[in-house]
Amino acid sequence: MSVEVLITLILLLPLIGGLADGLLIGSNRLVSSAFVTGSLLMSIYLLVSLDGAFFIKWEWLRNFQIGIFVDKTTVILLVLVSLISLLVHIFSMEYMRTEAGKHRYFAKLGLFTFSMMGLLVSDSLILLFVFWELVGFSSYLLIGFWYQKEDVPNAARMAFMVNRVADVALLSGILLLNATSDTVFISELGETLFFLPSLLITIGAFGKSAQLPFSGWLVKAMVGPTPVSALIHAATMVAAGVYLLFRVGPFLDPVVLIAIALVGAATALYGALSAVAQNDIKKVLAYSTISQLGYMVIGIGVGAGEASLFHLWTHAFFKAGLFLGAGVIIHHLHQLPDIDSQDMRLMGGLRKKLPWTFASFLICALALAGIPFLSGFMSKEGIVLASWAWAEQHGTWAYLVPDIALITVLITAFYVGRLVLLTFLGEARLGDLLESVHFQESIYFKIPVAVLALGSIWVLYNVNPFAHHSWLDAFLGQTATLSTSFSQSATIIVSVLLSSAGLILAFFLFRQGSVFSKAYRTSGNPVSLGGQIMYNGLYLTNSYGLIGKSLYTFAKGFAWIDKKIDTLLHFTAVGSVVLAKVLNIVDRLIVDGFVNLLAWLAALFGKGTAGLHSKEAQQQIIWLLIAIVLILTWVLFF
Amino acid sequence: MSELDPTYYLYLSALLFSAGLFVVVSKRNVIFVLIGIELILNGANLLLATFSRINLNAQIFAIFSIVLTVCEVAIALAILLNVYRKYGTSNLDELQEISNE
Repeated sequence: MSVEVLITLILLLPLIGGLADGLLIGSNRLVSSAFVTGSLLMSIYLLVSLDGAFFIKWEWLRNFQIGIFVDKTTVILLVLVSLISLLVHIFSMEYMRTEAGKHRYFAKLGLFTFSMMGLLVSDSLILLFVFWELVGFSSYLLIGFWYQKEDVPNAARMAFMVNRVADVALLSGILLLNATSDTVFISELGETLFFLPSLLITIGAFGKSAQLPFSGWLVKAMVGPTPVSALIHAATMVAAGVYLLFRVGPFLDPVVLIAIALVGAATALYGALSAVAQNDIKKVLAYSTISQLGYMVIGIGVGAGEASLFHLWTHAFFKAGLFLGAGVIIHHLHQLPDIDSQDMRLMGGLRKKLPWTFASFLICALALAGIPFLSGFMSKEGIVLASWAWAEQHGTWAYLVPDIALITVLITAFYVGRLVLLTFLGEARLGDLLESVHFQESIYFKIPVAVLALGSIWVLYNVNPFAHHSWLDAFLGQTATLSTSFSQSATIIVSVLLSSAGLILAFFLFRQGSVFSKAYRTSGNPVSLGGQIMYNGLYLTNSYGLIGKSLYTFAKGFAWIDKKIDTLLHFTAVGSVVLAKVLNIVDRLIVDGFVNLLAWLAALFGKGTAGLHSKEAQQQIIWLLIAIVLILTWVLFF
Repeated sequence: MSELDPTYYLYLSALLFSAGLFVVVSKRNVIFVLIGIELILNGANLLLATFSRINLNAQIFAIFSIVLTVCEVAIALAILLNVYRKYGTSNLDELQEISNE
């Protein structure tokens, strides 16, 4: 099979499967899973068979070309997307079994998978933007899946609109690039872009990847179904920004790259700090995703795009695993109608109830925490090392980035420990209520979480658990080792110490029987200022509302001024009409009247004198005589 | 031959003129109007003859005037004759109405 046909099939199969499942109301939703499996198998075949890079261009409009570009990096990511998508499809078959709108759900999933893969293969930035919007749209559809629920439509709209703001920047960047350089094809970029296009494209990528200040939407997106959060808001879509930055990264303006590194560091810290204060299990994971995306963005900023993609890959596995594990918990707690099934205050002690989920969740969580022998450690290490090497070249201030990255390791381990301890370990805070829940780990749940957990084991990537590169480097490209071996081993040791410290700290605070753990069931939201800021995620979502509101108020003010101006104009118009009417009267009565009077007088005189002219010649002669006599009298006697 | 006071000639001339004018404006018949015109002209000729005492050129003027008058009367009578033959009337008012139509 030729590459074109393969790529077309890989892209279209999920869409067709989704459509089929969407249209066949009665089916058991197997079609889309089967089609995604086909897509996955073909991606793997392409991965094995593809030699070098494949690109094709065609004329879309006259004199306007779009094209796709597929190299090994693209294909490995196609494999990733189709694999995670398949696992989520399988998981969803059980998770959404009783859902009335599940045909809708699978159609949307198919649309998303298609768009995401389209985004990966796009070479023309214009085409990429089309798919970029499509993933945003399908994300919006899936976030708003339970649109009947209160707050869900609002959250979906916020996620969508925040993305639109960033997308405006991206579109402007692409158009600027189109105007200022010869090409909009990523594979043809040759020289460093100008500052403004670089900045705008970066802002667009920040929006999709939930970097500061756009991070708020990802937390809001958690109202969607949990498998959707796993697929879109952890593993794939939010990584699209990182992928775009990876593609254009080598051509970005150096100043923008520094800004990217700094924003990534700030986001990593922000996400980790906010995750600590959450009580909603999905929000912990959402903030954690933001934090990990921050790591990937740091990698781009410091010029280690390959390390970022490696982290993207490992993060996709362990974070999707965490989300699906959380999904299992939520699915079971949902049987109790009166409680918030996502609230960690009601969890605890689930280890024995959901052993399979617990094991997988634990592996993924430790991978997230950066414990050696798991994938997260290796990929994160690559980024930290690259940022360290980058800092060595950029001077003292630049050490801020690796320092923050290392501090975030500590906080990450801390909230991961808190997450696991408060959900699976410790006492069952629901008490007897928990006994009424029927726990049954379906095979549809077990397989995806187990596969994702296995994907987080170190040996899959490199036999050396402390290496920061893997066999994936053959596809992603390898970052040159920039730092000395001393700083390498130092970083590794420090980071292991930090993550262990975080876990130990979490253990002492949240272990079974600790003060916090006992009071947690009834504890409210944080009350201290710092706690509140962390709990509300820096009030980002509120600030979006505030920005919107202030813009609205601003607009209303302008509308008010406009109305006043309108009134003024109205009066001016009325005044001028009145004036015109008055002038009209003056014109008619006085000016015209005067002229008419003269005419009338002349006519009167004419009529009067016309009588003098008799038609009879003799009378005329008499008048003539009288006139002569009068003239003579005048001449002679006066 | 005693010199007659020229004032009388002037009176006579004015009388002729006024009589002619009166005839011209008062008579309805075209022939009378023509006669009135002749009287006016003769009044004028008499005036010219009177003043030839001072300047002989006046006499020449008078002779020319008499010749012109003859011509005028001849032509005018011919026209009037033709008009009468064509319209069957010599009344001025009727003729005027005809010409206005």
